[in-house]
Amino acid sequence: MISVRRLLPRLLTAAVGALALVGLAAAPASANLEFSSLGIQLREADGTYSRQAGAHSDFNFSFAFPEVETRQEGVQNIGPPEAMKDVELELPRGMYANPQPFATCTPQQFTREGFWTACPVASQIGSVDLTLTGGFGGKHKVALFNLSHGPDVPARFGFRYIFAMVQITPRVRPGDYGITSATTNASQAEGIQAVSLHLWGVPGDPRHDEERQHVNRPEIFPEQALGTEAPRTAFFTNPSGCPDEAGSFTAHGDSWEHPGVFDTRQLPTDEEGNPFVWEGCENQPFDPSLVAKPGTYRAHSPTGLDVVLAVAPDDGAGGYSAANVKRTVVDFPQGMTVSPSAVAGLGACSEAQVGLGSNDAPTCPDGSKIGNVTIKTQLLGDPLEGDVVLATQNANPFHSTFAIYLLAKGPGFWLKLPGELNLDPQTGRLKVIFDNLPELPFETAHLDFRGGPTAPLVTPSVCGNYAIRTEVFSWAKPTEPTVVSQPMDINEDCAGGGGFNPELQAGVANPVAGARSPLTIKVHRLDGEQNISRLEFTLPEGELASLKGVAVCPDSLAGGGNCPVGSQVGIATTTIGTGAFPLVVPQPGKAPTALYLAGPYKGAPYSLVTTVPAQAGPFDFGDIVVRTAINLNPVTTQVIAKSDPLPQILEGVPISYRDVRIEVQKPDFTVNPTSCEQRAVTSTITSIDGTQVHPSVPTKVGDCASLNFGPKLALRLKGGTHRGDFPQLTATLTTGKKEANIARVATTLPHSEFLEQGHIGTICTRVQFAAKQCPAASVYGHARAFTPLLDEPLEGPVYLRSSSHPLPDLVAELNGQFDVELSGRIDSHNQGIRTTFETVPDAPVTKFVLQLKGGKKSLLVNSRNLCKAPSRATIRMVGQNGMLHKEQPPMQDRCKAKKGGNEKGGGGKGARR
Amino acid sequence: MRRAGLAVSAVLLFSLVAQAAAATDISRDEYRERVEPICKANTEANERILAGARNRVRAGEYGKAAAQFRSAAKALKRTRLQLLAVPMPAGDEPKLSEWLDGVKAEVGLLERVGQALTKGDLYAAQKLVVKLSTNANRTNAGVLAFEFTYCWFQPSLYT
Repeated sequence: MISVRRLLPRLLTAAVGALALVGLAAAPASANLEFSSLGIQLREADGTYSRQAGAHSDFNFSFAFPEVETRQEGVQNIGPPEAMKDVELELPRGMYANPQPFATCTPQQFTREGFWTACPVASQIGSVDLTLTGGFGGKHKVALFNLSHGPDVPARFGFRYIFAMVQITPRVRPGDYGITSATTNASQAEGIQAVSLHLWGVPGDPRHDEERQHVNRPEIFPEQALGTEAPRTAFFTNPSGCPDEAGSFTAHGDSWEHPGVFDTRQLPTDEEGNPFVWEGCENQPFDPSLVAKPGTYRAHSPTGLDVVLAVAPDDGAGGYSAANVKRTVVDFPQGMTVSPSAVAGLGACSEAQVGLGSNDAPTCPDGSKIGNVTIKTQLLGDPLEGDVVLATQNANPFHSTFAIYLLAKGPGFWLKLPGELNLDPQTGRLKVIFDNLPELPFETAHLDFRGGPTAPLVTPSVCGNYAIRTEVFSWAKPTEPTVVSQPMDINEDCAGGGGFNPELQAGVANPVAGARSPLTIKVHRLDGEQNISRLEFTLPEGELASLKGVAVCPDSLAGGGNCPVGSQVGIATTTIGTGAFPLVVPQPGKAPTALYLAGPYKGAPYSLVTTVPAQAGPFDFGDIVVRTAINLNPVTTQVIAKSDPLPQILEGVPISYRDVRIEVQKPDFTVNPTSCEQRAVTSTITSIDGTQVHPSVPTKVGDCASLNFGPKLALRLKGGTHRGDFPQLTATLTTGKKEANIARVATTLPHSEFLEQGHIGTICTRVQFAAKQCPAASVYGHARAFTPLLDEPLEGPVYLRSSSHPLPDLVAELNGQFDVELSGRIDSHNQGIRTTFETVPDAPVTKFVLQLKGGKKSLLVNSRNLCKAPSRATIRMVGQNGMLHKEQPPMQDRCKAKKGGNEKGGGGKGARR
Repeated sequence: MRRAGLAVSAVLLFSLVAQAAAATDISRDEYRERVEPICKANTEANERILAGARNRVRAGEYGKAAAQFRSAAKALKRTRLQLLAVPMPAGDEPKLSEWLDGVKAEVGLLERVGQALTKGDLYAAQKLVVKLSTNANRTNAGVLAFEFTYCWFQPSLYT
């Protein structure tokens, strides 16, 4: 007896659906403990074997060990060869027992002094047939009680014979969430030869009355039938699925003599050879419902989401349990999708941190939590509560961009359910899929995604009546979904959906005339308006960039945005998302954005490559690369930047641009105008539906007075000097440092030069000029312009081009890194031939040389002998800063070159008049 | 041939009428004051005469367009006769004579454009328009120093 008492602290735990047994007797052993017999029986109330899915059958697990004869200290013993230490039984997935409806037996009642328990009759949920060796040897039938327990286990059962008390504690297996019972450290005080445990399908069924144990009785006496107050509610339930393959049980047993050396047996059939193939799934009720409420009914707003999936509970003892949920597919309406605003500051949980397949506590970072989950199941007294966490991109069970985990701690186990977030890459439509859910019942699963400005979802941008459609598949009918549709009306703040009125901001950091200063352009779009599709900016006249010495990103690299550092000229910042806290890219600590100078693109001589690493929070979507063609207005040299379409969706996440900010900040790259007149950055901003708006921002630089203006123009005639000769004219303009650029130039030739009307022959039409198809005969000269902004001078032919003036215009087509056209109007002023360049680009030019042909192509004819008297031209130049510069330079000719020589000049190939 | 260009060119042709005028001691400014109203009237008349000619050429109604060009030629011819009647500054007689010759050539070219259109020969009409433009530029260049406001051709509108 004393030895039996010592067993008490070593009582075992066992499981709800599986059984753990405690050995009571020591047995000498020299070999591993092996089961001599094992058996499982599932029977209906009428005694037939049960394979009906979801049925509440009576469950019996029996096992025995071999009987061997041993002699110890002269005493002969018959018993098992070794003393049983642990016995475990793994139940098939989906098989469970539910202790919640039943009364419990407290520890005080179970372990009370004396020979028997004081457990209430209503707490009996089965019986045990014991065959013991030793002092209490023989066969005994005792009650199996539903014991009260702590929060660390889901249930506990126990039986007692005299002083030997056995506890059976279930645990939930990680992974398939099946039930396994584990009996550990069984006592060696008494030998256990055989055990048969009976779990009743419906403990309250009167047919068990003869198997109930009276209070204050050591065991069950069948002749003393006893009623019970236990409800007639199911305790044990068969699996609810009917897979094709048969299920099986697995039993493990080891001994004190050889701990850890298990005898493991698969039990694919019952004792009568019937496989565990469940059937009759069509008989199980399945009536799920879903209620989904967004956190806001405002259009185009970040929103949380409250989802409650409910399954009608077990229908009680009379029928079959409701089928369990296997898979859910929640299909959100078009427009309701993942919100980029949620990503900032978010973390993600790796597979290792989650520890799928284990009961270890997850170690997900706090930042990965995006909601709460509460699961109320009839199997447990308290609901499971936990977190919804974001999974690491791609490194998740679905290898998907987006996935979540539901993590909730249960008594003695962790529920870890991965869910896939499937975003349509074209539309962003969101589906949330949970598959292979535990084959266990629950009443409600409540997912509460956090709300507020950084909520994970965003409502549709347009008001309307939407629906969240959910397909719920059961284990009983895994291919036949029950469709649940939940209306969702978005009916607040509907006005913002259609407008498009983005704001443009632009300016330079150092608004001083002629200075080199970073340039910033920003487009701001109001939340709720149509999204931005394309951007086109035209910079103010004179706002230029120095390309001299700047590396150009090779075209082979530009497409992928992998440009060399030397070609970087700035950065870009974008703000995307909805709500009060949109996502700013780049995020701190993430890869920076870059603006690179690249070569020709879409007919433009240069381009910009904007590379925005789409990295935010735990996500990395690679680089967003947007090319922008850079053209120059050939007349004004205004920079025209025209972007490609901006990406509207990335990995299924719609990109709502709130701000697009371009900073051209390469030192000494951008150059300010030298005019202090008010100018403007103009733009054409196109929305996704093609709406175009043209916001502009006035710009103005100052301190123009500090700029000088004193360009020098030299005019040289070459060729015949006699009257009627057709000279060649070379005009050379030079400028000094820190000078304003030229705005207007008028050159009036002296009366010694007339326009030779007979030489005005072929004229390039404006259409031909625009197409760069001027006839060769329309070329009357050549021009070359040197600018500090470019590596090479611009140069090209000088044409006579048709105009709306009395005479054709004299147009220099300057080609090179950019094409520029300089157009001069020819007229007469004070009887002299005047050429006026009304629109000279506000661009720095250090030297400009214009050469008009002589001879037969000369537009000039000497009206007198040039060597008889000196002649001067009249030059009037206006600087971009408004300063006027006049000069009357002498016409340099060969007379001066041949000082004291003859005046014949010569060289003019044209005929004299 | 660019039909549109052809039509537009005709619209804005000014007409010049002239009578033979002997050189006098009239100043260049006085001469300009006397001829400019003549040119202005022709310009306005031609706008009426040639209204819609461009569209007719486009529509293939060459006959009607041709008639408009012939009318424009007549108007320019009358204008030239009026201009010839204005006395010329003594020193400018060669230039102005050359100018009026250019106007006469323009009259002839307009008539030939009309004839080409009557035949439906657009290629010929196009070539004539180029000549109209070149002749107009040369004619304008000869009187550049007179700084006329109305008495010049606008050749860019031929093309």
